[in-house]
Order: sequence, then C-alpha cells, then structure tokens
Amino acid sequence: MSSICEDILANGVITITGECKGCDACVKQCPTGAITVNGLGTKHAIDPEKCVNCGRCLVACPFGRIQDVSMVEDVKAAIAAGKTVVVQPAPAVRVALAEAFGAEVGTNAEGKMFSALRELGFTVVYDTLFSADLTIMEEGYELLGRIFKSLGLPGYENAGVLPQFTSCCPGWVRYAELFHPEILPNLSTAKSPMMMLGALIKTYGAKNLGVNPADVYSVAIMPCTAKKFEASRPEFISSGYQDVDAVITTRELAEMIAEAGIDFASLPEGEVDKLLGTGSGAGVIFGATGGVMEAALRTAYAVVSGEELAVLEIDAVRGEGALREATITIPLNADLKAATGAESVDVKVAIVSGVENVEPVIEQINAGTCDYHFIEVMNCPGGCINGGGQPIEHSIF
Amino acid sequence: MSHIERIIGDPATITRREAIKGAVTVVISAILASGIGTFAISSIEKAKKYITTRIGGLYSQDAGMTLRVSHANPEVITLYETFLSPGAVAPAESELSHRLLHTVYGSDVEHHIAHLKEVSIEEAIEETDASYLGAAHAAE
Amino acid sequence: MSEMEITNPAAKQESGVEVKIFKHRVASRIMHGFVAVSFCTLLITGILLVAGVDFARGASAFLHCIMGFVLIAAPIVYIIGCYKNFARFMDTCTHYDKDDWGWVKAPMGGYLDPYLFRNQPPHYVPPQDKYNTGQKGAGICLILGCVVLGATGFLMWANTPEGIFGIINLELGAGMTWFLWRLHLVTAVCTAAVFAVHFFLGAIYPVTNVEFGTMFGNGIADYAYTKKKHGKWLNTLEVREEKEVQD
Repeated sequence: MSSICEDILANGVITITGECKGCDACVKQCPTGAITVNGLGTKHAIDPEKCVNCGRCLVACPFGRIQDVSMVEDVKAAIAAGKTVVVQPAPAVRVALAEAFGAEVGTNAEGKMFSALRELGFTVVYDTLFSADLTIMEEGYELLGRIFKSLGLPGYENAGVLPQFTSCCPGWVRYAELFHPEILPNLSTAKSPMMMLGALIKTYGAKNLGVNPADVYSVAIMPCTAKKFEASRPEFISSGYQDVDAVITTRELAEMIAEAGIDFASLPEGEVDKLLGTGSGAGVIFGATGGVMEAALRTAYAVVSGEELAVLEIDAVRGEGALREATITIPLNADLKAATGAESVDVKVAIVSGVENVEPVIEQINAGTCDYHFIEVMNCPGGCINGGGQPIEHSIF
Repeated sequence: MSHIERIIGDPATITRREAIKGAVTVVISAILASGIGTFAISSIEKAKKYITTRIGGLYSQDAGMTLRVSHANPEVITLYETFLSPGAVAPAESELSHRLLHTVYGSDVEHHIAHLKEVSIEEAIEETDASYLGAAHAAE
Repeated sequence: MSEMEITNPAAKQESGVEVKIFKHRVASRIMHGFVAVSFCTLLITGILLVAGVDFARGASAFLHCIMGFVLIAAPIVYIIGCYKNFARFMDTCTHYDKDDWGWVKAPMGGYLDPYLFRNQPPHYVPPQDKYNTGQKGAGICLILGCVVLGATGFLMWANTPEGIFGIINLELGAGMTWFLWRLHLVTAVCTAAVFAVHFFLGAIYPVTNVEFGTMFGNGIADYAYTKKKHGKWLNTLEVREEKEVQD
C-alpha cells in the first residue's frame, strides 16, 4: 500500500488550507458537521474522525481554499515505469470532463475521454459502466433474495434484512459506519462498481490480457473524492493485491490532459477496450440520483416477471428531490406465482439525494415502521454528477 | 457693555427641488440595495441548474443506446459464464463472486481482511470451478 | 482661494454684531458621529479579516457585522427624523454649475498647489456652496459606497450557517458568495480611499482641519474660514436667532 493511501486513511482526503476566509460556505454543505466552527468569520478545519471525504465543501468553497489529496504523481510514475496501467472512468466523468475545456455544461464527451486516456499513456481502457451493470446483477439478486425471504420462499433463509440500502456511494457507506452502525446489516454487501472492477482487473482481466497481476496498476477516474478513501481501505485486497491502486478525480484528469498539451476538443471519438468495457444505458445513469434505482428496477422487473419493461424510463424515480419514494408493481413469473400464490409484488423504493436526508429513513428503520424494500442513497445532491471530484461550476449569470 | 449675537444658518424650510432630490436619493439607494439582493437571491436556483443539465447528459446517452439493461450486457454474461460461476449466470452466488464483488462493513472488516489473507485468490477460483464445473460434470 | 462679496445682509459683519454660522445641527452631528465611529471600526476589523490575521477573528467578525448595522441604521434614522436636512444635503451634493468646473480646473480646488505648484501664485478657485465640489462628490461616493457595502455585507452575514441572528438565513451559491465578497472588497477599497481624503482634509490638513472642530464640536463654523471657502453658501443663510449678550 502506498504512503498516500496510509495518509488518507489516517487524515482523510479533504483539507482546508490556512488561507481560509471563514465565509462558512463549506459549513452549510457538510453533511456530518465535520467542519469546526468557532464563531462567525473564523477559519475552519476538518475533523477527519467525522469527515466522509465527500468533497462537497471543496466544490462549495468560493475561493478554492479546500484541497483533496492527489494521487496523480503515483499514476504518472506507474505510466513512466511501463506498467500495465489499466484505467476505468466512472459514468459521471463523461458528462463533466468537457466542461473543463470550455464545452457547455452537460456535454457528453465519452469518445474523446477514451482517446485522451490513451494519449496520456494508459495501457488498457475499461469502463466503470461495465461494473455498474455487474453491480446491478449482484445487488439486484441480493435484493431479490431479501424480498423472497420476506415472502417466505424456501432457499432464501440466509438472505439479509429489509430494507436494503445501496452501497455504491463511499460517502454514504462511511456515513453509515460512523454515525449509524445499527443499519449496517441493511447495507447491500455488494461492492461499489469501482471496487468490483478493481478486483476483476487484477484477476479475470490480467488472466485474459496475459499479464502478471503484480505488473498491473489499476487507476479509477472518479467524480468523487471519497473514492480515494474507499480505494485506500485495507479490506480491498480480494485480488491478492490492492484492488485499485489510485483514484484521480475528473478535475485531476482534466489537469493531466491540459498539462500533456492535448487539444481535447479536436480529439477523435475513441473506443473502449472489450472484456470489461461494455456498459449498458442502465450503467450510464448510475451517475444521476435515482439512476441506480432505475437500473436495478429494470433488471428486477425482467427477472421477477420474465419480461422486459415496455418503457425503460421509470419517471417515478427520476427528479432531484432530497427524499423521493415510489412503488413499482412487478407481475410475477409462473414459478413465483406458484410459489407465492400472488399475481404481483409491490416493490416500494426510496431515493435519498444528499446523505443528510437519510436521517428520517433511518429513524423509521430504528422505529420498525419502515416499509421500503430498497433505498438508494447518494451523498451528493443530484448524485455523482455533482460529486466532489467534478469540475467546479460557479457561474451566477 | 453688550453686543448682539446673531446665529445664522440654513433656511428652516426646504424647497420642492430639495425635497424631490432627497426622495430620489432614497429611491436610488433602495433600488441599488434591493437590486443586489434580488440578484443574489435569484442566483440560488441558477446555481444548481448545472446539476440538472449534467443529469440530462446521462439520461440522453442512455436513451440513445441499444443496450439499456444490465442483465443483457454480453460481457457481464461472459464474465459469469467463464469466470464467476462457470457455465451459468448466477449472480451473488459463487465463492468467487462473494470474494471479488462483495464486502463487509464496520467492525466486520478486520475479520474479513484476515479471511482474504488466509484464503488465496487461486484457492477461491479453484473452489468455484469445482462447485460449478464439478456439478456440471456430475449432471452429465 | 478667492473671496466672494457678501451681499446677504444676514451674513454681513457689522460693528456690535457677532455673527455665528450654525453649520451642522445636533442631529447631523450625532448621525455623523455614529457613522464615523462605525466606519472606522469597520475599516479596522475589515482589514484584520481580509489580512487573515488569526487574532480574535470571531470577535472582529462579530463587531464588523454589528458596526455594519450601525453604519446603515444611523443614516436611516436620520433620514426619517430629519428629512429636511437630508434632502437639502442631497440637493447640495447633486447640484453642479460652472463654479464646480472652475474648482476642478483650479486644479482640484487648489488643494494640489502646495504639492505640485510650489512657489507659484495660488490658482483662482470660484466661490463654493456649503460643500465644495470635492466634498459633494465625496458625499455621493460615500453614500453609494455604503449602500453597496451594506447590501453585500448583510447578504454575506445572512449566508452564514446561523444567518443574521437566525432571523434571515440564505443559502447563496459559491459563485454568488465569491461575487459578493469581491464586490464588498472592491467597494470597500474605493470607499475607504474617499474616506481617507475626507479624513485627511477634515481632521489633519492644517488649512481645513477647523472643520473637524465644527463637526465634532458645537456645529458653529469659523466666519473667516466660511467666508473664504463657502461664500456662495454664506449668501443663502437666514437669521435663526438674535440675542443680546453681555460682554
């Protein structure tokens, strides 16, 4: 494990520099009260014991006085050392990267992003979209197991409790660990897409590429600063190595591209590498609040009913509200009808945008009155597209 | 001896022009202050518009794709059939998928790390291969 | 500086008559006192906050907010209570004629003579109203500056987690916060520059520092000084009070 990772585990990812003006913009964004306040106008500091590393304060700082720990030098060193550097960009990166090069907000630059990664010297370009799909399979089947257990179906006795929370968001996972350990059994055991792909790159990926996993350096491009902490966690060694060696943010990738003198706007539309690079639209929408829920429901519907949704857009879970809920009725396939004696199952879901808004849901769970099956929680309001590692958008006109 | 002390000053009354100029100053100041205030408050909504726009970028990419559901991703299916659960698509089931794709939280982490160090990845692959391919052989 | 012939019988000096010029009434002086004290406190605490001095930051910031309230509240109370005086002040400040052009051409009312035109005969400066061209301009600048400082300042205060004593609480975006801080700083620098000239001429510069005594004393202006500097104004004054006093 690199020294940066140890530093991150001990001191967190986010620090407020000494030139803090004390404007308090960050304090209002912090979901955990990790930013110390000693009265009006005083300089702030972050308590790493409470910080979930989400970087919402960093994005909100009007003066750019909040920084995240950078792993860029390690990545450059790995590329220079001729390692097999495998990279995976997250879904939200592609719709924000171009902003750093003057494109309009929301411009999708997926192809140019792949080209830029190759120009920068990354050996293999995979895509977190692939493991977003894989997450839906693992987390979705886990959810179905929990639901079937609650319906009393045989064979699901070992499944977990309901409701099931998503576990893709490292800010939320740390929030739950720090402040609500009582609901950890409700958290899906599925890893985040980044960590799933990290584990696969150094096993399945290395085997298929014909390289020694010890020579593979695994990099993730994330819209998120908390991902740096997640990748540094000591339990992510399931491949026999550190699963993800370095995480760099969308902002840092943009800096690398600019520094390398690459003219981003004129790059060709590149392609992703096969094996661990193909993703579905369901994986794409992971980057938006409600996206994981919608992706999971598309697959759950198909598995439970035996047929695809006629309209894949599930508007009931879209939107930007802080706490949204929806009930989706899924007809049962013949086997499930026979086993349960019911025609359909009502899946009740909730979506939390902004991790502090999960509190009422947790209160319900602790009071035993929560009837949701599946709850998506994203630390950042709006989801990963508004993550702490994204290009900073401060326009007021 | 005595003398006259005469105190002179501004007239006691003001002209219409003066009254109007005073009012105009108050109005201009009020417009300036409330203008800044309105501009600031109106920006609250605008400041968050980029979130909606970026979300729109993702939704429109999804809408334009032919592969739109996770369970139809051919590479995911291949991964299950050749590696995670050889010969089958069995998510969240095999030893290998639990090892590589699932984790634990909070106080369970230390125990989990010890387990990962105790059982090598090669052993996990062998165990998975044995249970799936072995079962397939038995069925033949 | 050139004196104007006094045609106003009320303002003429005669033997056996002592003419006293009542320049600033008590309400004006109290308001000016509040504004002066709060402005100076704001300037000092503001510099401390901008410089990033760690000493007593919370107290400085709190004092800055409270004094900001005083700076805005004092003139508002004055405008409501003494509208006539305020209106006349604004009329004077916004009235410009050829004599103001002459003041600028002098140049700058002759205030630069000791520095730029040493050993040369003094420039001709036309007679001036209650406030000369520079004072009128400074008055407008300080009023507009304080309006902008007040508006941006209260928005910044409302933008803190507790807001203004929990009564007004806004959540402005980062871009707007940046904009408000910059606008506040730029306006503060401009306003402070005008204030510095105002303070220098009113309190320090030996030719004009009698004005300090008038404003912070009893409000009575020196006759010779007024006749020399504000002849036009002297010709508009009326008798307010006349009484016989024993020597």
